[in-house]
Amino acid sequence: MNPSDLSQRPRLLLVEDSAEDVELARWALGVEGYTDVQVAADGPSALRVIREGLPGGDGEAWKPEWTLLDLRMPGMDGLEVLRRLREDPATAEARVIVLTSTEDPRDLQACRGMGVLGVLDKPLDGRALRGLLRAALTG
Amino acid sequence: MKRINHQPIGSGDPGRSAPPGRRKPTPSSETARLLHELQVHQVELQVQNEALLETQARLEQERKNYRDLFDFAPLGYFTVDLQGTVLQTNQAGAALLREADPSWTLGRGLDSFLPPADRAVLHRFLSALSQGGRRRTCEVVLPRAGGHGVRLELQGVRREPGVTCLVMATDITGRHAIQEGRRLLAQELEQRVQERTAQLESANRDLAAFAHMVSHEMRAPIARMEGYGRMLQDLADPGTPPRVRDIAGRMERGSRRMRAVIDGLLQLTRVSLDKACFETVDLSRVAWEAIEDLAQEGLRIPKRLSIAEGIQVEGDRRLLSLCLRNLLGNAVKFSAGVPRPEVALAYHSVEGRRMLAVRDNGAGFDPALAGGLFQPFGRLHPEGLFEGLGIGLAMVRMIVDKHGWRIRAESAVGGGSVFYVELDP
Repeated sequence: MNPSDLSQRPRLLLVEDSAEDVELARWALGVEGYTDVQVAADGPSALRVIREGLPGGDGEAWKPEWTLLDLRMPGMDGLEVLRRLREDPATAEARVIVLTSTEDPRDLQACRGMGVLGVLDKPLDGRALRGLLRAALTG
Repeated sequence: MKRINHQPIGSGDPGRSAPPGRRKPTPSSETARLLHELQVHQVELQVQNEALLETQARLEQERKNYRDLFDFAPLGYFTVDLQGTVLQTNQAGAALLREADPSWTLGRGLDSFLPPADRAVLHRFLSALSQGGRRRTCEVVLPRAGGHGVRLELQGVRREPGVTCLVMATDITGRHAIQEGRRLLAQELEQRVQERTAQLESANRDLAAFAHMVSHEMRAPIARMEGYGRMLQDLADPGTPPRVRDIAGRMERGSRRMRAVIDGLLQLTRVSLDKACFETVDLSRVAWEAIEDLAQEGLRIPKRLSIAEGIQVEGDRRLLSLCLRNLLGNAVKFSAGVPRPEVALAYHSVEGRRMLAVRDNGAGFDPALAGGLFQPFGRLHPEGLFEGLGIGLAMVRMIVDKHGWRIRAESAVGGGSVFYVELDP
């Protein structure tokens, strides 16, 4: 699928440890028509999915076009996931949008320093995400 | 000089010695005259002699007086040659050297009384004195059995002409002890200040960590509540009672507001904890950037907007940006309802006192209620009439305080508002 095709809804990986936040995000994404969504519940599995993909139904690996990354996670947090993504040439270009329930400017600064395409407040607002994706693809 | 007459007094022939053609004085009158003259001389000599004796006695007395002054002076005086050999000293000098009689120090090297380390100091001092010119000083310690020595300040000057120096020794042990005491006290105070500062900084870090923890722990569940409120509204179908839809909406809005309050409080905490970093700031430019931010946040910027050009201040760029965003944001917000909204940032300098003024022609406020204006949550308008949490001006006040400036507001209901920031209060 061509990611610049605005009529299509891209494949999204949601990296989120809280089941409630997953439910809310899935709902908000669904309302806006984003249905091709997979979830990674922690940092290491997120890195694996982005690098290797998930086994797809048609034998092809499912790889996300965009990753929605929660910053606060037990163990490996979102900032660490970002750092590792950028270190690995295979994933250095991965498109990441950060989801946050913190407004700590240091975290946001760190994210911007690592080439994040946007920062969205929780609870995830589907329309805000669509605006961000549109801006990223056309800008 | 008077010519001496070799003729014996009262002898010889007066007639023979007289020059020719002049009246000859009689021998007896000549003798009497000479005799008188001599007697006068003799008296004069006696008078002079007495005067001399008197002067000598006075001089001797004065010399003795000065000698006493020298001998009993509280300071030690030494006359030394350029090698430091004592040629003369007074009682105090001898006492410093632990000798009962000044004469016992004579001929001894001043350095022989000093510890080896201070001998070099003395030699340098004497060498400097031998160059002549100005007065020199140095400090040496005379050792004393079983304790601290006597600290001496030596002041010396070379005697001109000659190869001797006068050295004055002052016991500065007490003075030195006081200075040392002061130094130790200052050191101790400095250390205490550092300790307190460290404690304070640690407390501030704890507070910041606490704020961060609150940020996550409270904000996350509130965000979920907001999300579920929205979800509930989405789930509503034509059969859902309007009351349920309404409650879900209130839930969402209430949660969103709570989230904003927490964000505001955290921002306030951070502003109060952050150290300001001062530099020269182009405030006009910061103001335009603030206007751009406000426009991006969806505020309608009035056409009649004026920002004074070239305002330069010493301040923290980030904090000032936050400050102007709040002041200009308020001006834009509160003037939005009038037919021809106007917002201005002006800069005045009257008699060297600089002042910023943020003006609008909006709703204004009752000056009688202005007391709580700069307090957190000190809203003057009913909730819903104007957006906002009442945290902005508290933050503005905090930032202005951090710069050592002063802020005040003037307004009348319906007559617009002016916020003055005095940069030289």
